[in-house]
Amino acid sequence: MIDWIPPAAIFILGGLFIPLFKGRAQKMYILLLPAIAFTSLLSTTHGTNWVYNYLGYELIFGQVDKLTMVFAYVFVIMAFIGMLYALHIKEQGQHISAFLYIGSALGVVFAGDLFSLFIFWEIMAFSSVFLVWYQKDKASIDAGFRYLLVHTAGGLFLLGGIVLRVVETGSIEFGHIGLDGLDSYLILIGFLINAAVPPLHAWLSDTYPEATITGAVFLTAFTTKTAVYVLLRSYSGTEILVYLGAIMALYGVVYAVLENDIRRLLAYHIISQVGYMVAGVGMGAAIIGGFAQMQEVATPGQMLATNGAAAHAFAHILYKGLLFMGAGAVIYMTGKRKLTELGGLYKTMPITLILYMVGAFAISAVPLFSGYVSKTMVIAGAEKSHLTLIFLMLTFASAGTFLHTGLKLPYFTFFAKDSGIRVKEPPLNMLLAMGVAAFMCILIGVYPQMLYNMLPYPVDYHPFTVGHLVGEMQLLLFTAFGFFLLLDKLYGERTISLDTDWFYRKGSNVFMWFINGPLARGSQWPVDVCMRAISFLKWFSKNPVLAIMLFKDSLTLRFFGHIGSRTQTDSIRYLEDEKKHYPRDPVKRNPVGDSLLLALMFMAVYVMYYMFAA
Amino acid sequence: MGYLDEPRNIAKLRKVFYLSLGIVVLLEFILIKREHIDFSIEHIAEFPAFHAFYGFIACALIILVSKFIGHLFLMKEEDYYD
Repeated sequence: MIDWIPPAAIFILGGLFIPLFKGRAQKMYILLLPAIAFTSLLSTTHGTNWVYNYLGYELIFGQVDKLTMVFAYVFVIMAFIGMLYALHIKEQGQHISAFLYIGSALGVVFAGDLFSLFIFWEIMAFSSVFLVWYQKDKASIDAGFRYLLVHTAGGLFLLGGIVLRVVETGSIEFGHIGLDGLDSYLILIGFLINAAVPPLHAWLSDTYPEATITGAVFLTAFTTKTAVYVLLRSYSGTEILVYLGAIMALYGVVYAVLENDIRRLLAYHIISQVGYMVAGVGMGAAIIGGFAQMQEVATPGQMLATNGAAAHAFAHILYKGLLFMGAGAVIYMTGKRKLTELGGLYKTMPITLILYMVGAFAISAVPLFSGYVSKTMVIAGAEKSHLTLIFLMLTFASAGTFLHTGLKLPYFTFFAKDSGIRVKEPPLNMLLAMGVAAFMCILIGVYPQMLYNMLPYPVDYHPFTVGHLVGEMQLLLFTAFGFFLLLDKLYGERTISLDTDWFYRKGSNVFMWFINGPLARGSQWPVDVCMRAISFLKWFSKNPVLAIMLFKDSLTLRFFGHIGSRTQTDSIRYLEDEKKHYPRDPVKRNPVGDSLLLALMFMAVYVMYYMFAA
Repeated sequence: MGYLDEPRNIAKLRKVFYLSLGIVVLLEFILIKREHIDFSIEHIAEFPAFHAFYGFIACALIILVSKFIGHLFLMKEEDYYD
């Protein structure tokens, strides 16, 4: 007996009814939907639910186990926080697209088959782009189109892989895939694009900073984490992901140094943080069968890595949302988004600063904040599996995370020079949303057991040992030491940084040049040739006999200098005269000639054909 | 006038910060007893004050290397794509 409704349906269908409500009722309604979804989650039954037969295939909208629930819970919690943050927005379209986006992300998480997964995957891309376009300036419209193009390409990779796989295996079941054969590579590329794994990541840092202030909060939570979920489900234990993840973690950190735009700096840190999760996916064990059986075969290091990836996704969604809300609040109130234009805001925005710092401490893995209990799991997983290089790379990136999100951004935004900007705190709903997120970050950090109990494998990991605590505090404090020593190198610079989006942003110019230049000219040429042939034939057919005589005469003139007994000047004048009066009257002058000529031409062609071909 | 506009307050904060740097390294030697130190790369995380060194070096490297690469070819004028 099914007594719960898939949360995807609550968000997607519920979102469509938003325009029916006005004013306060509408606000109540958009907060109520996530709450309803949450209660639905509480009564969710594990196993396979909501199965429909379609063209002989089974579409499964409710494939549930512990891994599903980790992501489902945090998605719904984040939906509530994000909606609270966006409560003051009057445009219903923004709310509707956000609901579609969240609903489809949940749809992917609950999908038990590749078809419905693909459909939700595409809805996700097409609904989220409106959260960018509602910013309504040229930069956001352009970025939105680039976002859409990249995700459409990613969707096609995924679709191609799915079709090949269904043809090969005859089943559309979504489970462990692993790397074997073309289909699995294509599906992996589709997933990696959404997970923003370099070099396929540039859409993220390109688009998120251009989104609306409230829309960006949703964007940070769902697309990349849905990708982490599907990677966990189907590519756990794929070795290449370990290295891709570790490189990713460092990649984002390097770019964050160069960034001047506060939300773009944070966007690069999404890439960095998702790197930990991707590495965790790679270090896990392939998930075949349920987690109860998996416990018997997976090593402690593998279980720690998979748990770590899931836990970090959970914690990350909340603190990253909080950081984007903090940065968004600053942009909303000041209208400025660059480090070089901000500074000294602590005097008038102390609450925003404190709430932002909770998020910053969480992402930096300061003890008693959420990142500390999740990120260190992934790192400990690397240590336990004796992957020393990966351990060192991830720890390196940890220092970089604190350096930018915890030190550089708040220092240059809220302290440093006084920019003279005196703005108030943001609206109450924004502060409340940040407060809820901050509360969750601290709650998880102080009482990690709550998160650990949700994880797919039983957790045998203790974050609050003396060794872990002292090590982490050393790492953070000495990073801060380095920051203050090198402070004068860190001032924001009024520049943008090239990234892999250069290839399609500049490459598109080459493409357009090719379209407008060689391709346009090349395609015009055959048209010109045909048009000329037509006009010649039209001219010729008016009086073929005379036309041939004219050819003959002009050839005679060219080779002999005169025509018949005429002098040269007379010949030229005669020819011009003939051309001017062409075609004269063909029928009167030579009634049989034309048809005779045509018959002769046909016979000549036939003879040639008979001689050479037949 | 904000709290940080006063140079005296900044000096005070700086002292607290340096003190905490010392304390956190000392804590490791006081709280964690090691019978022997394994110098293989596998156990690098157990070197005395490893995290302090590593944090500082990582921070410095990230700033210097990124800025170097950035100025080499990555950083462009803000209207580069327009």
